[in-house]
Amino acid sequence: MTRTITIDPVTRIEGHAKISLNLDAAGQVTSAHLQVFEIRGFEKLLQRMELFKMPLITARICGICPAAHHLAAVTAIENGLGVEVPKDARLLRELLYMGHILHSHALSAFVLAGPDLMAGPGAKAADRNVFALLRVEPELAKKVLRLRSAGQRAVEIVGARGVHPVTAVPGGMAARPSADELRGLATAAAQSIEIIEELAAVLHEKVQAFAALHEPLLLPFPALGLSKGGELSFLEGDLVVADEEGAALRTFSPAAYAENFIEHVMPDSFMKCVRLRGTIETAAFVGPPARLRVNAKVATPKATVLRDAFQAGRQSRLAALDYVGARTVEMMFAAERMAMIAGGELAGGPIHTACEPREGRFIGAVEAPRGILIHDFTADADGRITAANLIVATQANYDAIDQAIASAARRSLPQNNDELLMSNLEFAVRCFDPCLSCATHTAGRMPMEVIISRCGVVERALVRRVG
Amino acid sequence: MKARVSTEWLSGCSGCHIAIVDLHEKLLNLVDEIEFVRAPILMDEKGYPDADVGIIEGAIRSDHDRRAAEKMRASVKTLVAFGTCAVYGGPSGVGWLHSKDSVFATVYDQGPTNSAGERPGGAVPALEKSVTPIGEVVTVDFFLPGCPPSPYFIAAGLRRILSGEAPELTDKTVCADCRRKMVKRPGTPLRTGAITAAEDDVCLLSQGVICMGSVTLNRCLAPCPARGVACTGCNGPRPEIVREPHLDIRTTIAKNMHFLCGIDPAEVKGYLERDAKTYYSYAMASPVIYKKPTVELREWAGEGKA
Repeated sequence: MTRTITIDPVTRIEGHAKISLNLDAAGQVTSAHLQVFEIRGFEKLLQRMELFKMPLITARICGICPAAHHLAAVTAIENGLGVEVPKDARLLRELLYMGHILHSHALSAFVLAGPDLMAGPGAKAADRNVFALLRVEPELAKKVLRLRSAGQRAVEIVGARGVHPVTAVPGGMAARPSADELRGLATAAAQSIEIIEELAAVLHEKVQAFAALHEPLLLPFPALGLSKGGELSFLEGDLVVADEEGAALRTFSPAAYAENFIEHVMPDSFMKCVRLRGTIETAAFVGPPARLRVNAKVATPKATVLRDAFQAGRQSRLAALDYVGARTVEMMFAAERMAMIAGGELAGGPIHTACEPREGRFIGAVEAPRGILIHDFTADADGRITAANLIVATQANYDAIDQAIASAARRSLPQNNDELLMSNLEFAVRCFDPCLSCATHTAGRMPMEVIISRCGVVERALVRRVG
Repeated sequence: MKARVSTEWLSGCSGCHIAIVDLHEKLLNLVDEIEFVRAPILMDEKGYPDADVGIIEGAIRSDHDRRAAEKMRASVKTLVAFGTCAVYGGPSGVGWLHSKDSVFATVYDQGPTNSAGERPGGAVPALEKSVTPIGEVVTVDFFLPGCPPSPYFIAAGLRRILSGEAPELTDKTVCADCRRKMVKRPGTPLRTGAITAAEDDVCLLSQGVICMGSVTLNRCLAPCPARGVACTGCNGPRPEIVREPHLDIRTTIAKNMHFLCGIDPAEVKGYLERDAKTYYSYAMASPVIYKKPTVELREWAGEGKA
């Protein structure tokens, strides 16, 4: 018999999803799976478009992390052309990108996954959103929105637009901000540092309260992330796979990604998973805690303090909750770098090296807010795309997400409380902050439902709904 | 009583929802005036509660999207197609050119990291044959294109709609807000594939670069040409091109470049047709474009005749 329990569906993830839980005859959870239901097919859509337009059109893959796609595409083109980007242009891109990280992490920490933490695990669904947060804790919520705005304003000023920035062009930057604009950004960055210091304490307290109620979801995966000689880096470096202690298991340049990654179609889903090739294929996890695992060093002082506290408190295996703490470290790093660049690192030198489109293979990688992002284009002699391949963060986290859901379900199912089961599953997914727009190079809506099957036969379906 | 606002996100990137958050401080004033009863990304969804104003981002790609658009229409008094994907198909709408099979073959077989032959199966929704703007599926009261619309126009448009009036937004082109000067430069060659130009205060068309500002509706305040990057037409076509079957994107740009640079209109027209996937990427799924008498997008894009 199929029983439907009506609770409210989850939408505070970018994109929409369904979860299936598979049980054996004895009712034990054997596996769990996130299903993703929309597809736009950007690899096809990009064919025959102009190479130099890739940084503009690929931004449209995702409205939450357009700057990541914008810079991945321009990096790919420049790698393929072998063009040297002037130092000031690199700094301007970093300024834009640190603003982007601040926007995305603040959005995640307080608008997407945050309300679960802030309102606490027992809160009603209607109280777990940013509008409720504005009613209940207006001062805190306003600070968070100001933090996100500070980041997004940096994107607006340096990138010309907040959503879908445009100024990173092959060879450098198309424009530079005025001295006044830079002063404004430096001031906003300094204020952001103060807000993050305050919020870090609040978040830490909330995470502790959450952890006390929930055993950690520990996942046995190696970390995968970009590294600039052991230093946290978003826009350049090699790809490193590291074990639980942070020791490198594999290091390769982004150009060698195809020899190292393989994608598989997953059941009941348009989203492919990404695994590491090898005699045995292995899964890895990506995103803020992976970046802090593969990199022992963070190049700014206040983020280093937060990073050391984070490292001291974490378990050797990945806990889903680590995403919250790691994001805080990175927000601080982003605000500090914004303050440094806007406050005086720019020398007034050239920002563009002339270059022309040509035939070839163009591969580039950046760390998107949610983890590694690779763009790979092949262009013909007219500078038109003949093939495109995109590897995005959430695909690489697919196995880790499935395991986190399974682990949450194993713990919650015996308690015979559907409300609690849904909350725990939701929270496990939201910790990863999966970006399904990116992951299927699509977006769309699909309320979260949980389908529970025993020995392959659907036993019941849970859908959450309020009012 | 606060006006009730319901939003929905179909085949698009969620950037139009982020653009609402990009109202920054104004968002707080807005939250004082309206109540969001449904907003993906921002809050947990609650089915399709009745609302005064409904806002849809994204196009129709699957049977699921179509049902969602119909449920939105049935639950709201005023429906807004919000952003270029909802209004014209947007980048999602480039899928209009391709069969489902060819999209799947590229996505799941051709890449160097794919495990060829694997296909999504089981409980995935059925993709529709094509991609459709919202207005082709349900009755839309107001259209607010933009990729995303600038927060300036979102604030101005929403305020009027909430007070029950039609939004009075400019119907000028991006050029109208561009600070660059159009100058005649006979003898300037066409610079194919370029997106920037050397002179910072001169119109990009005058410098031989294809800028789509003159054929594009201003829903952005012209930030791209202001910061040195040619317009790619992301707000969709200007009203005359939408209304008049004999006016088109490629012919209008060709005419303007002939006037400014003396370039043979056939050269510009031929280039824009060869690169139709780039220059029609935001509005090709809309019948106002693909039904124009001389527009042959599938043929130009190498997909055979329609």
